[in-house]
Amino acid sequence: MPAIPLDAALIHVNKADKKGNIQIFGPDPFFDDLFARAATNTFVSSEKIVDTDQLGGEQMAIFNRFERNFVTGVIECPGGAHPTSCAPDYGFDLEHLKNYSAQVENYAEYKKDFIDVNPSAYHEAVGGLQKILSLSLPRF
Amino acid sequence: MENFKLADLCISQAAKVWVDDGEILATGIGLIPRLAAYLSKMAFNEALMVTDGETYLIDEPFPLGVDRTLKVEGYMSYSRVFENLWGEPVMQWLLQLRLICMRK
Repeated sequence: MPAIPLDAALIHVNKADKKGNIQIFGPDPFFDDLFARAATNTFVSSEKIVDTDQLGGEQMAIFNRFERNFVTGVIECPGGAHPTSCAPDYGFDLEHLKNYSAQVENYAEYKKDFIDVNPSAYHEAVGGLQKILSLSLPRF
Repeated sequence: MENFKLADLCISQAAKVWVDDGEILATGIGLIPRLAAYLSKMAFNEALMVTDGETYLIDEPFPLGVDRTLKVEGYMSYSRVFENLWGEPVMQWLLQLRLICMRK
């Protein structure tokens, strides 16, 4: 079966450097590596950007789930997986997701409040970055 | 005993699916399939491989929704579920399914 050609992949990770060396600390990286390798361009947002020598060396290298030659660009964006989770940093925002589902009929309003805004306005609209970072992880 | 609910019936019947499967992955997605896989491991097929509902293979099923310490025996990320599924076990399973269909 031929691969689906992806124009772009948007991937959020826990830690990265400016070169695009990424680390995913969640127990399950799902299919992030496949998306990164399949896409023409892969844009990474990271909870934290650090210098390469702060990535933790050989002990942490196992968390590097795909290679930097697949990364087109990287930005620092704490809380960037909101309203979904970024284990082990924070869990889902169920309240927000319910609100999103309820507003599906009225998407223009949701878009105005939460999509067409800059990051700081977004944080303010959802209760603050600290609130995002303190969302607890689900227990399945 | 007649005081059971439909969910109890679904769980106990689904648990029988893995009785003769031996060492095979049972990944129960959703509450009832997951409890069925746990019950199957505890009642019928000790060799059954089951997960914590997220990422790990566990040696011992546990009650859902409470604090617990997992008895982890291995790793079963989402992509590995498929790697495992499309490996040998699924071929055995398809063969068994064919035999069951032929019997009927």
